Amino acid sequence: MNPLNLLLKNRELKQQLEQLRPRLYRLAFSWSQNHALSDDLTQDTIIKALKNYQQLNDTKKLDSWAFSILHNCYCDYFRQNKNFDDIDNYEFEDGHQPDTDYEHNSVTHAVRAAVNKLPTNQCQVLTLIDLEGFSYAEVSQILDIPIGTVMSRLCRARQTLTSKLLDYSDKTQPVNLRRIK
Amino acid sequence: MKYNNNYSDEILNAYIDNELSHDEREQILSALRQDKDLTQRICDLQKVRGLVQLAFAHETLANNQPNKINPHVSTGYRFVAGVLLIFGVFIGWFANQAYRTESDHLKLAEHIRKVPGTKNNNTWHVMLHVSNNDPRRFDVLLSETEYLLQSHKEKNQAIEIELLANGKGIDLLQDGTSAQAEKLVMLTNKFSNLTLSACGVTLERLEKETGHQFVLLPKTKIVRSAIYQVTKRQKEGWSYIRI
Repeated sequence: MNPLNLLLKNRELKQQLEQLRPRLYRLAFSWSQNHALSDDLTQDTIIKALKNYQQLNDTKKLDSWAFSILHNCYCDYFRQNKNFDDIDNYEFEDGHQPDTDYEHNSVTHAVRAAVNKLPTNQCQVLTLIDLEGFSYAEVSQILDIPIGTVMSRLCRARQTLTSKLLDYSDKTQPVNLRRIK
Repeated sequence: MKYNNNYSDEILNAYIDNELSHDEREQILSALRQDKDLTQRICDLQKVRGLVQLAFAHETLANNQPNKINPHVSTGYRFVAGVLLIFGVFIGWFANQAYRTESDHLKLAEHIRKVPGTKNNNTWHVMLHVSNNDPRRFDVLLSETEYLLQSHKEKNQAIEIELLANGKGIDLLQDGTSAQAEKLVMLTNKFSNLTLSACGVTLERLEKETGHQFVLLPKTKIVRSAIYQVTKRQKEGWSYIRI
């Protein structure tokens, strides 16, 4: 490849990655629920993607490739953090209960709290599918796990959310009925 | 919750995620027509998926986020940026002093943006959502709605407002018992660009539980579900404000 083509390809990649930034950030936030960390992870992902862009053979797969880098950055971050024991089974505990915390008395807060408490491996599968719309095969590639594992993790995540959110919704919205004449 | 033994949750997840083949989808669709439990399970899964999408729908970087791809910024740019920042702080402080009396409306207006890609870019679209029956919230909702409609009318600026109620907030739209009924009827008669929407899921649940049909205020339309409507409007670019 001549230098001009290389330069153009690099510039195009930069633009594409910049367009991906909001999506990368949103996914990182859904995993970490921490704005500063999400920003750092997004930035690290873009820098690593630019450094290693020659590894990307098919530009049509840029999305899934960038999200797999984000996943690696996320894992790396917690591996370097001594407080983190096991990335695959870690459950966030923030001390809040949706039914006792007024702040959580909204759909957004309740859902975010419930997603936050999912084990990381389930949370990642769920958000890649629900927020980013990746197919099971793509998620399998991004996270480097078999499709069967994708399905089972997604299943467990949605079961947990169903029991927490739909029951929560029933409990926290008691209806004051009025007889209509 | 009852479970249909013929289909695992994994298969139903694959169904709602469009991961099944045509034949497999056909089988589930035909089973759905006869099995209410199966329908309920799929509805629950779709509802959960919708909730997750809604919860993170607007969690993106600000549009004016600087491009960080090239971290090497010259000292000159940094100096200019610093001067502009200080200037901006002063301007912001003076502006804040000048407009402090309208803070509530300004806060609200900050959330309003034009719908991108629509034919008429001058029209503002705002969804105001209430899910609580606190009378103070109803009062805020109505005063903000009236203010927005009136001020836009005076400025000859097009605006569309959808007022959505679900959960306990449905009390607002109940004919005969809502304390705000008179004002709402007056507003809908006065402003054709105000729409009242009631959550169909909430109404259905209430009617099942009471056995009575809910009577809503005139011109109130029933939407499929509040979550669906909010997601739909957000996707269309409407501003969403929860009161």
